Amino acid sequence: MGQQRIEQMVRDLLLEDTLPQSLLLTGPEGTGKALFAVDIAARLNCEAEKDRPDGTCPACRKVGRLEHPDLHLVFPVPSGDWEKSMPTIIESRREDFYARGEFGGRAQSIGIGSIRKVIETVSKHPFEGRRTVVIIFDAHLMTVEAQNAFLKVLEEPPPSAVLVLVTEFPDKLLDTVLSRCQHIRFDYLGREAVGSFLETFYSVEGKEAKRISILSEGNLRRGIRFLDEGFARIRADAASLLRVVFVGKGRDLLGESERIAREYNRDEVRTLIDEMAVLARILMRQQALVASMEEKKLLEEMIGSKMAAAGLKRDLTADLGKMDGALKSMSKNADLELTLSHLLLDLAGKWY
Amino acid sequence: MKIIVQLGELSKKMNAISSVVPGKTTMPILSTVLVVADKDGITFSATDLDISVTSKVKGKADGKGTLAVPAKKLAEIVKSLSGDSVTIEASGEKMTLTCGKSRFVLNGRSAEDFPKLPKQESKTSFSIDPETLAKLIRKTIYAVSTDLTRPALCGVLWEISRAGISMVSTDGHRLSKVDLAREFSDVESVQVIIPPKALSTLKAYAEGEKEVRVSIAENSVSFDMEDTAIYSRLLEGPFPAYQKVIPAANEKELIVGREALAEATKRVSILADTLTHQVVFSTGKDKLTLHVNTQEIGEAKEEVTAKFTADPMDIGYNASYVMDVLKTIDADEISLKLDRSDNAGLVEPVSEAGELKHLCILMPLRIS
Repeated sequence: MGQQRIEQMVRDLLLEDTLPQSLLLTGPEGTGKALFAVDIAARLNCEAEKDRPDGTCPACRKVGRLEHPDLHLVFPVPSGDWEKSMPTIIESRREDFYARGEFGGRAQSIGIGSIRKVIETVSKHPFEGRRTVVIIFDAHLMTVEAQNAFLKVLEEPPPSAVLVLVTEFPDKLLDTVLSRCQHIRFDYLGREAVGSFLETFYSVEGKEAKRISILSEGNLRRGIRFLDEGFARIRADAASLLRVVFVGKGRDLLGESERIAREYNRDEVRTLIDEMAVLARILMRQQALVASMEEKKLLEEMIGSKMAAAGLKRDLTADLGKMDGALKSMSKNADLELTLSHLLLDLAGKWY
Repeated sequence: MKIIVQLGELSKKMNAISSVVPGKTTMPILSTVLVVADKDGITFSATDLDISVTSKVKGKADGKGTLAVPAKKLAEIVKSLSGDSVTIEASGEKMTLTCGKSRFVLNGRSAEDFPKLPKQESKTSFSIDPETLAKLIRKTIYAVSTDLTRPALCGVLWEISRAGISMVSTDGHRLSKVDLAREFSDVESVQVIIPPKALSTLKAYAEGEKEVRVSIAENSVSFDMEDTAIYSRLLEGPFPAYQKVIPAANEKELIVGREALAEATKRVSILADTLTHQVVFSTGKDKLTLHVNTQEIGEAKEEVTAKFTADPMDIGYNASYVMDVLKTIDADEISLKLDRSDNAGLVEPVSEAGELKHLCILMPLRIS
């Protein structure tokens, strides 16, 4: 999975049978935390004598399908909707491990009810495996009550239970939760890791896998999103917006802002700005003369060689700061079209 | 695999099995029933991961086979059929049911996907008649805690030894303990905590059976009956040291008719506080007075004939807890042994015949 350091550590801990029972997997998005959490469940319950997980025994296959009776998954769901939402989201995760679940924009959280179910689950011995593994995804979305209710079990889980909390934002958890868990920090994956993951598990052809691995900047989840057609459109629009900015015609800038705000929703626009930032960072590496030939070629393919040359003359640090500012405004519910037009005009230096 | 079974028996067993299948689940495989055919019949298994039930239907089989099929659909089909016998065939991941002129083909899933029912080596096992088992369960199950922050209390502790079985349950406000003094040869001493859901399911299934074989393994317990078996996971312990709570020096003994006390408690509790259900027991010479005085609602008082020799005292109890205890004691008179009004009271039947010894502890409420 490209996290050799962590894999080795967990393997050693399992061999010595000293794996802490409350784990907190942290690190940036797309670094393989969630996959690794599931992998821990497979390692703990694999039926092979050695080299666990072997990936082929019935237990490993059940874990792989997220249908092992001793693997319990908890996702944030709209409040008061556990009964309906949890089976739905787990079902969609079975089809696409990175599915976020569609809840019509309703705020999601992990409430005290979900944590009570976890406590009930771990109070029983495992059903068929050796250990009960509970994975709490987006653990920072646990409500304060839920976190407090969880403390006792986190402090001293029943002997057969392993609790894995997965989050990008550990700071949002209570100190009392943090202090009860063993932290495992995930670093950004190398490009090779993302590329080979896509080749192995998503049958992406080698050249394309390499392209995606550059653009995904070591983010596995982004890498997988590149395979999505909708995302390809966002990516193309990110490149075309950069071209419009570099040419800098005021009318085009406003026209594009209006079109983008009409065609995309808030999340998609956020992704689009992220993608513009990815391209800007490749340009920055080129400015600093550290970009690889592949990066250079990819950039030229996406925005054209003329535009790439124009981009090299820009103050890209300032550009990235402006994009970051726009993302921040959007998280504060700023109007989409206004934010976009402001960003594009600002990037093009068209303030009169 | 091909097997012919009697429709009546199949329908009865499917009914029993279906009650275990969970309605909504995060694991679709749990909404299936595992069908295993061998030479002398067909076994159906269902589980909600808390309880697993297997039930065998006898029949003439041709070959072996195993498959997981949607439980609800299978039950509906079986229910809708009319005739004497049903032919069940399985090939690949499909199951065919033929009855008279009706034919159904159900798409199933590989049996390998179905959770493995516990097949651990049992540490100890013994047989018991269902009537005694039902009594033991009835006398303890009501006091099981529902507080998940203390999971070990959310089950009934079974202490098994050659000299008999003790079952204990408590929720911190009350405790119930029943001992069965019966010799079980070849039994290893073990202590396990069994979830109440397993016990209530067992009670329902064991009715009419001749014998229940209880086998206790490392992580699970199984109850085998003639054609049906129930499996349950055990709760993680340890169960608190309940012996320390049983008062040894309660010397003030109140003896009162069980039914009379139950009825009086029920009546006066009508006006009890809806939160605390407090009823005050005032002991006096040859009588027990029950008071309830709730400011917003009103007050009630009733006297019950009783034997009491110590100095008069007032002690508050939760009326529903008192009634739960009185419902499960099998005696005409009960003895309530008291110490101080803020100490636990010990309730026992005055005369107990047979192998069972039952005691209950009630924690008093602060009199408001």
